[in-house]
Amino acid sequence: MSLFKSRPFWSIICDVDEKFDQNCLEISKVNDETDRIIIGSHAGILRIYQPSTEVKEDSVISEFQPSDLLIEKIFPDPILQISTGRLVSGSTQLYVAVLYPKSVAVYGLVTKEGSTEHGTQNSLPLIYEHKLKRSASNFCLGSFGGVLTRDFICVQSLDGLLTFFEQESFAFCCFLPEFLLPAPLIYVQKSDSFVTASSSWCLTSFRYKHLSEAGHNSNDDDGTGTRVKSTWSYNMGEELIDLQYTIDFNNIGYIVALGTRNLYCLSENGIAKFIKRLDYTPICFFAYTLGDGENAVWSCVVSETTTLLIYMNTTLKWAAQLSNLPVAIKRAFFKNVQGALVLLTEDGRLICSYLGTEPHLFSTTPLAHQELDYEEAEAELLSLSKIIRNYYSSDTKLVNATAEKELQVFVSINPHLNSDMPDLYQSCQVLVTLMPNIILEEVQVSTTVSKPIKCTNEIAFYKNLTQKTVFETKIYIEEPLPCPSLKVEVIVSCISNLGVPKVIRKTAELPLKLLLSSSETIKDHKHKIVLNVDKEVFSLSQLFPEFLYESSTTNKIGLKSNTDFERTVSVAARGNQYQISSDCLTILSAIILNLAGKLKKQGCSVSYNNSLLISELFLFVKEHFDQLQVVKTLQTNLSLLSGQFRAIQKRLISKFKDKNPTPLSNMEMLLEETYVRIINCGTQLESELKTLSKTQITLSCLLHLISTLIGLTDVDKNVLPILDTVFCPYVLKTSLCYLLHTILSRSEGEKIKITTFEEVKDVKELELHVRLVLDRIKVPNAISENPKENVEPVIEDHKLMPVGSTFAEYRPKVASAKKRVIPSNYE
Amino acid sequence: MEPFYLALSYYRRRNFDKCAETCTEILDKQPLDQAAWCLKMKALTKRVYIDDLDSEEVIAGDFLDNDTVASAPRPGTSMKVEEMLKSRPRSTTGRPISGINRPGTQARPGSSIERLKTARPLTGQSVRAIRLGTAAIYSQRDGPFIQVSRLNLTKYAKQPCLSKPLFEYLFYHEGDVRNAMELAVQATQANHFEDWWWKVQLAKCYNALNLIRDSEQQLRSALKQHNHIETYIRLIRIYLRLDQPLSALEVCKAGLTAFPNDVSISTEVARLYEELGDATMSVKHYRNIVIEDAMNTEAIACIGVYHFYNNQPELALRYYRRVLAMGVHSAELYNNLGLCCLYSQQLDLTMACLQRALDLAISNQIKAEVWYNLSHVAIAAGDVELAMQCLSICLVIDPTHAPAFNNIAILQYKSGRANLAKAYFTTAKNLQENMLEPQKNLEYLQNKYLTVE
Repeated sequence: MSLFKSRPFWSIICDVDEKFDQNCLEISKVNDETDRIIIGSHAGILRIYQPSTEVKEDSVISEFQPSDLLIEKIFPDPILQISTGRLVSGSTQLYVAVLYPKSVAVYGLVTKEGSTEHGTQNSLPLIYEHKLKRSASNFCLGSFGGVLTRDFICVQSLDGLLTFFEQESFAFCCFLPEFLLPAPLIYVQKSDSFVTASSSWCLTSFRYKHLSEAGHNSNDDDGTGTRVKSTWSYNMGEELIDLQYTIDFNNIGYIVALGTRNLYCLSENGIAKFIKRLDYTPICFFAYTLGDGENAVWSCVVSETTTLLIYMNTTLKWAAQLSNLPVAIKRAFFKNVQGALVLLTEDGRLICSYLGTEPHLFSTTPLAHQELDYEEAEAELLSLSKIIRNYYSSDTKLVNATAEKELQVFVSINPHLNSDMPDLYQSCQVLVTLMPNIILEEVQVSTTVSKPIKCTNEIAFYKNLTQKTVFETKIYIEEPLPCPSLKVEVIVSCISNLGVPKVIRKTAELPLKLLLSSSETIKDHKHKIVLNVDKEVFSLSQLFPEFLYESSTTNKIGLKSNTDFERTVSVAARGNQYQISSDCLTILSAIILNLAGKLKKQGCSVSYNNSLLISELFLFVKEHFDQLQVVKTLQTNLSLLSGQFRAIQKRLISKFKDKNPTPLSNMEMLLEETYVRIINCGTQLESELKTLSKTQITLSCLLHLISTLIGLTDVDKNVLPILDTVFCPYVLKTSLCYLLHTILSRSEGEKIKITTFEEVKDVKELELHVRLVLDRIKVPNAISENPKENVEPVIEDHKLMPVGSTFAEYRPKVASAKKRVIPSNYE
Repeated sequence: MEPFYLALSYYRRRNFDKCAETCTEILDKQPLDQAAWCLKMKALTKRVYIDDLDSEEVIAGDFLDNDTVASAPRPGTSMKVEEMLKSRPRSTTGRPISGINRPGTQARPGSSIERLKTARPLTGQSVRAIRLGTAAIYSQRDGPFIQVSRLNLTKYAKQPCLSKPLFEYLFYHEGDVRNAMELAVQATQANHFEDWWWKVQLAKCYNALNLIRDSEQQLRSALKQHNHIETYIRLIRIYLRLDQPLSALEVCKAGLTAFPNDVSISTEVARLYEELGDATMSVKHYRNIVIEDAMNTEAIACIGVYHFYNNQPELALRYYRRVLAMGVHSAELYNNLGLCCLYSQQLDLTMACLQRALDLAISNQIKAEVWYNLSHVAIAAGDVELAMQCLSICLVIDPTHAPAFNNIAILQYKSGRANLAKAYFTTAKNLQENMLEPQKNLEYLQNKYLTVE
């Protein structure tokens, strides 16, 4: 990622299958005034190039010509490293030193001037060769010991043996201390020392003198010898990638080290001059100084993203994109081109390039849909927005009518119970038949029933539904508790192959037999509910054929609860009245709902005129509320205790960490004590939660009963669905408040108040709200007014209801679920 | 060629898989070859290595967390400043945004995140996922390379050449912080508490284990011995975690004295000022960064953001174009370019830029932001219906986009549906409690109704 791109002017590919590494590139003025490029591959091929770099007429630099390759020689051994130096005694000429795994050899470049235009002929005769006992890793050249006219060789083996050769003769060898893996090695002339990185990631400097003192002259190494002392060591804390030494115009030396994350520059005595943190992964680098008297070291670093970054000290001066990722980079001076970059890639592409100052323009790919026919687009937009507007205006019909067309759902309930369940109670079979008319990608069927009733198979998931499928579940009563409703709700949600999600809801009534069975009729019951019918009553045998075996004409039947045998109900038909009576209210809910439904099916309207069971409701509400308080106290207790437990744990740990150990036994006692109390509290909470769920169920029974009865009274039909949702245990108060604030509000000011969910603190307040709501929705026992006056504003507001009502329903529920841990099925 | 040399060469050329393979061959022949063992360990580590300074992963609080942060700090001493004190509203992620119009700054276009994607190919993913993946692959082939439970950490801690690579292997490859820490503790002792590197590693482990104060102590001690940029940055990050921006600034200053103009430390300073809501200081530091490192896309982009919010969209446009010229090609950048064009009246380019942004956007968050911004284009053009649709699409993509709810509410209110507007405002308020606009708007609505009555 950069503004500029490097411009190659000379490149060549060594097309044999060869591999090159960091040390395989050398720039040197062997036998010439301009730089020559020497490369040696792991395949053992050595090549010397001299780019001619003639400037042609159109001021373009000439590219590679065959005559640029001075010599190519194949050696039997892989070449690990190449360097040049004054390596032959009595000569100041540069010779080429080549490192093989088992030897180091010095060659001289001999150039014979050709008489014809064939050009020159070069040969590379071997001058001398030293065999190595240990496999070599790398070497460095330099005038060790301060002999300025001659260069010596120091070879580092893979296991850390430094072998020194003073030109043709072997000098000594010694082991590096703390050695594991070989690292780059350089010779620092000014301090006459070697710098390398130890395996503990420290840059370490060894004086040549110390090395020679520690070394032994025999070539048979025994791995022992005295330990060499380092002159200084700099802890880099990361691996060393490459190391270089450069001297500037003022004879100030810089040791530049490239780590994996930072670029370091140190003086000869190991003091950091600067550190540059690199925010990329560096591959290779090259450092140099300019002869302009500025105290600056320049480094070219190549990043993994093939960007070349040139720093002057720590300041970024240039960045250019390279065409290939090199393994080695050097700087060379050719004829007409000063300071060219020479890059060598892993697979042998040798590139000379300069930094192009012309920014390469980043061009993006054109978008696929660029050309727009504006008229057509406008027409499309218009038609689309019409559809959207229609959709918006019919906000209330969010349930998609077409869903039924795409997927037909039939719920059938087997009226005959079977008792194959291992439990005490009988079970009822429910079949959900899915008939898809199109391909549906995903379909999920779920059945929900209220608490004591349970499904064996609650959820099913189908993929790529194409044909008729039947989902079967069995429904039974799980616990001996009263049951608020016998409704079973089947929700089918599906995603069509176009990705449109749809939901279909179906409800069905379970047979009453599941809950009740016939028994003796008992007179005197505490609670009586009388339903009025506008027609002549149907005989009970017509309504409840399942409970009357003989076709008797009795107008009274007795029923008893399956779950709790104490509870009995009796239903009596008299005149145009049905009288349902029981000694317990909770059982009534299901049967009244059932009866009302059956009567409606027969086509007669049912009404209820007596007072609602408000006082009983408050009794149950109070009970539920008290139980809730008990649970809450236990929960606070538990959280206190666990807080205490955590505090003790923390203290225990900090005691562990203390420098002076102190006995921990008392802490342990405390910890155990708290633990026991937590467990006790937990078991208590569990049992209380069970009780709570029981009270919840009874309360819910009653609420269901009341909302059914309200439905039977003379109330505006629009309010009914909302009321249905209101009568749920948890959200009762909030929903009531909401109702008071919106539909049933009497003034504008009341309307704008925002309903927030608060926990019920006071039952009295709740009572008040219930009375208010019942009052305003005009239940018969309230003061009678002319109903029409009040109904009208309700209708007006009703248009805006959906968003608000779903919202009010939705949010408090989430909040309550968070606040309380109890799973509540009623919501 | 010598196989070990080959392995070394592979390692140098970053061909870590082949390096590990070659090492495995060597180890098959000579199971006790320490050098090959070490090299293989290093190669395996390098394969999954991530600069953990770049991956801003904060491990969720341990329940034994001892550090409580003052809930009511003195002004200017905490990053949890009241929202209204800041110059620009912020998004949930804490990057500056504006309630009305914003370039997608959360992702810092072409900044740190972008850099992660390009410079360090591995860093885009989470540390843990990679670690688990590779470890699993290796165990399938021939059992785990190192049985951590059977390591004699005390023995290895005393070997300076092996201990450091082993630590990195345990920390990065195995992800075994506890054993890595055990090794670090032993090694620090073996080095007579003189090696700063081990202290930094210990701090790293403490940090991973949420023992922040211990981590701070180690880093302080390391800094006493040796000045290193990484140590400074880690210490700064510690103070940021502790919500002590002033201490962090102090460390930054010390770091900048030791390493004048260092880009990484300056970036920390600039980000810090940005977090503190001091845009001017932040930009000053970003400018310094650009002088030192003209390639720093984060700095350029942030200067662009500064100009954008200073009502100089033309200037901002120039910065973003520079970023574009450098080859960054992301949805966020095009989004910002589009907004700059919109506000500098270059309407012909606006749509082209935003269209490109939509084309490039992959994550839902960015898509939602672009649609949100498109709604502003529509509002600027006076097309309320189109604006509503843009906002609706934005909400379809990201249903938690509070500003979109707010704006849709305003549009609904303007078209006379006060009740619907109220509902949308409430939704916006619930989604983002500390956003000012919906609150104010709701208050306004209520007041209006009350006065009418």
